[in-house]
Amino acid sequence: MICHYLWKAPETINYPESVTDAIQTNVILSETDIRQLHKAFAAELFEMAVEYVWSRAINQLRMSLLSFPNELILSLLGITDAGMLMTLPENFTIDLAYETGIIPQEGKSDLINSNELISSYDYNNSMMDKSAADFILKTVFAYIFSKRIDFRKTGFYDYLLSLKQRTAIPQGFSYYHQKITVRSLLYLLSEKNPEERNRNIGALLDEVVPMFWSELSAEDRWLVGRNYTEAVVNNDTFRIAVLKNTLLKSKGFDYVPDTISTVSYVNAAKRIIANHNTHYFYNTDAEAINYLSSLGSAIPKDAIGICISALLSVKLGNQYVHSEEAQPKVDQMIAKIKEEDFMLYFQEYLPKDEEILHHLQYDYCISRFLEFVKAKGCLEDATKQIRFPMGKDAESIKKTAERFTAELYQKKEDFHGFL
Amino acid sequence: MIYYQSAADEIRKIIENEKIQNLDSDIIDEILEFASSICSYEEEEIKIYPKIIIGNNLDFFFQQIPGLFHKTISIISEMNNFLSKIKNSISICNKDWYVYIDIGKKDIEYGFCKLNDDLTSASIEDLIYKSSYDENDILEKSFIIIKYISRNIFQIRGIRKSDQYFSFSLKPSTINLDLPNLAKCLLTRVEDNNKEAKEQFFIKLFENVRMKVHGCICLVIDSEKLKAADITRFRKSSNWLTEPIDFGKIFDTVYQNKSNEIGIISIQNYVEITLELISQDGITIFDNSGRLLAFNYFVKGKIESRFGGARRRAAESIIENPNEWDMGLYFQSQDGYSYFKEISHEKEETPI
Repeated sequence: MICHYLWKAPETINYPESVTDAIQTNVILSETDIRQLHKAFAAELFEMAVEYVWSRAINQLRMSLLSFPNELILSLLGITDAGMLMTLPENFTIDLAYETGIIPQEGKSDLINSNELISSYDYNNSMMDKSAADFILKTVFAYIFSKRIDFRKTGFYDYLLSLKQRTAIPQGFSYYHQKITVRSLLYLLSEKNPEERNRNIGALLDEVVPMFWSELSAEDRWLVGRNYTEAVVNNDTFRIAVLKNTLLKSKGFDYVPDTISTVSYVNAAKRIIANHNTHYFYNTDAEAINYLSSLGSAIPKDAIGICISALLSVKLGNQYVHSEEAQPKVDQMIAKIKEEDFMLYFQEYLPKDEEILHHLQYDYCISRFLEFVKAKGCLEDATKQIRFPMGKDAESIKKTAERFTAELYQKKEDFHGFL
Repeated sequence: MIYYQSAADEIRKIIENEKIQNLDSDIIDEILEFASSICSYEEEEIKIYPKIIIGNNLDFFFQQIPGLFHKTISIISEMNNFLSKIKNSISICNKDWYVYIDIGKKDIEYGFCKLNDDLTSASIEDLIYKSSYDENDILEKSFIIIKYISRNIFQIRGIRKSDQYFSFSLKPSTINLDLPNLAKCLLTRVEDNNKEAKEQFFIKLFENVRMKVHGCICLVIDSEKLKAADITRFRKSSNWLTEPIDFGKIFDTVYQNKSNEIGIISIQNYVEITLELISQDGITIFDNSGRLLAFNYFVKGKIESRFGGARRRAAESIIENPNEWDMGLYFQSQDGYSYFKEISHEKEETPI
C-alpha cells in the first residue's frame, strides 16, 4: 500500500507536456533568466541551459529549506555539522525537500534522476541531447520554480505545531514517517529557549520512541542515544529526564555512545554521502574519504553503520560511473573494518539504508557490489543470517533492494491518518 | 551510654525502602558500622572522603551513564565482614572515584567507577537521581550512595527517593541548602538559558572545595556597587587578578564546544586554579556575575568571638558589619564545619 502523507501533501503538480509549458509556470526566475534560457535552447546548447538552471534550482530549494530552523534541518539530517547547511548537496537537498513536504515523491525521483543524468554527461564529457535536457528542465520548473516556499505555510510546519499539542500518536506509521516523527520530536525537545520547551513533547517522545523502537533503523536508534549523551554532557536536566525514560522503556541503552566526540565520524560519513550525490562526485569523493580516514581507523560503534554506508556508496558509484581516484583509500578503509561490523551493517542497517538500496537497483552498481562481496569472501555465506541475497544473481539483489525500499514507505494496514 | 539510635533506625528504614536485596542482619550491621565511621575515615593519617555505591544489579544503572568507567576488582564469596576486605580500597575515593558494591545472591562483587566529569556535565548522581524510575523497571534492582559531606555529616540517597543527611553534631545544620544558596548568590546578575546549568556547576565546584580545601572564606560581592576608590582599596589589601576568571563566559564557551576536548580541559584547568586560590590564606572574592576577582584578601576582625580563630572572627566581622557591596559569605573551617550566609543590609531600627 502506498503511504499517505503524514501532513498535508504538496499540491498536485500537473506535469508539463513541454519545456515551453513548464517555463510558463515560473514564478522564481527573472525575465532575463528566461530569455537566456530560450536563447540557449534555440542554439541547441542544451548542456549550458541545463547547468545554469539546475544550479539555480538546487539553490532555490536550499533557500526554501533554510527558511526552516537550522537545528530542525540538522536533526532531520541526523548530523551536527552546521557548516554543511549552506552548501547542502543536491541529493540531501532533494531528500529533505521531500521529507518536509515541499516536493512530492514523484518530484524526488525525477530530481534525483536529473542529478544522475547530469552526472553521467559530465563524467563522459559528452553532449547532452534534447530529450535529457527537456526532462531536466520540465522537472525543475514543475517542482521548484513554480512556487515560493514559506516554512510557516507548509504542511510540515502545521505538523510540528500539532506535535506540540498532541498527546498521542496513532499507530500504523510507515518506517519513513516514524523516522521523520522521531527526528522532529528530538529537534523540538532540544529547543534551548525554556519558554519554547514543551512538556508535551517530552511525554510524546516517551510514548513514540518505545512504540517505534523495534522498527527504527539503527541509525535512528543511535541518534536517540546520541541526543541522550549530548544532554548528559550539557547537564540538560529536562532532556536527560525525558530521554533516559524513553531509553529505559525502549531498552535502548545499548545505543548510547560514551562521548559525543564520535559525532565527528558521523559528520564525516554524511559528508561523503552528501558529496557522493553531487554531479561532480567522481572528482571530490577522494577528498571526502581522506578526511574520514584521517579521523582514525577505529570507527566507534555508533558510527560504524553510517561509515560503512558511506564507504559502500563510493565503492558502488552511481548508476553510470564510480570515482576511480577514491577507490584505493576506500579499499584501505574497508580492509580495516572487522567482519562482524560488516555483518552488523547488513543485518541492521542495510534494510533501511535508502542510499545504498537506491544504488542496488542499478546494474552498474550491482555488478560492483558483487565484486565487493566476492573480494570480502566471508560475506557470501552470510545470506542465511541476513535478509539480503549477498552473493546471488543481480536480479535477486535488485528485487530485494526494490522490496526493501518499498517497505520503507509502506504504511501499516491499521493506519488511520494523522492530519 | 547515649547512642545515635535514631540514625541507625533511619538507615535500616532506608535499606528497606530502597529494597536492597540479599542482606542479612550481619551485612546490615556492617553497613551501619561503616556509616558511623565515614566522617572520620583515615588511611595512614590521610583523611579519606568515602563515596560508596551499594545495591543489586548495578550494571543496569551503569549503562545509563555514558562515559562511565567501571572495573570489577574482586568477587567476595564470604559475605561476612565483606567491608573489612574493601576498606583498604576506599582511599581511591579521594581521586573522585566511587567504590561500588553489588550484592548478589551468593557473593558480593566490588569495584571502582568514575565519570570524567568536567563539572559542566551531568554527574553520576545527577543521572541516577534526577529522574524517576517506574518500579516495574527496577524490580530486583537497587542503588544507594553513602557519601561523606563534611566533618560531621554524611548523606544516603537512593533511587526510590530516599535522601537523608545524617549529622554527628549536636548543633543544627543547613548544609543541604548552603551550596545551592551560594550558587544562586554567585549568579544573581546572570540571566541566560544556561543559568540552571551554571548553578549546578558552582554547586559541584564548592562540593570540591568542601572536600579538598582545608578551610576558607569566600565572599560574594556586587561589583557594580564598587567605586574606583573601593577597587583601589581592594587591590591594596588583596591579590586582585589582572583579569577575573569569568566562569560564566568559560562555561558558555565550553558548552558550545562540547565535542572539543580542549574546551573541557580548559574548564578543568580553571577549576584547579580556583581550588588553589581558594585554599590560600585570606578571603577569596567572587562577584555575583560568577567571576573570581581576588584572593589573599585580609580584613581586620572587629568582632571578638569567644570561639574560633582568625578565620572565624574575620567571617563574623564581615557578616556583622558588611560593606554595601557584600552579598554573601561562605565559611569553611579547617575541621570541616561550613556554612553560607546571605548578607543582610537591613539596619535594625532604633526604637524611638
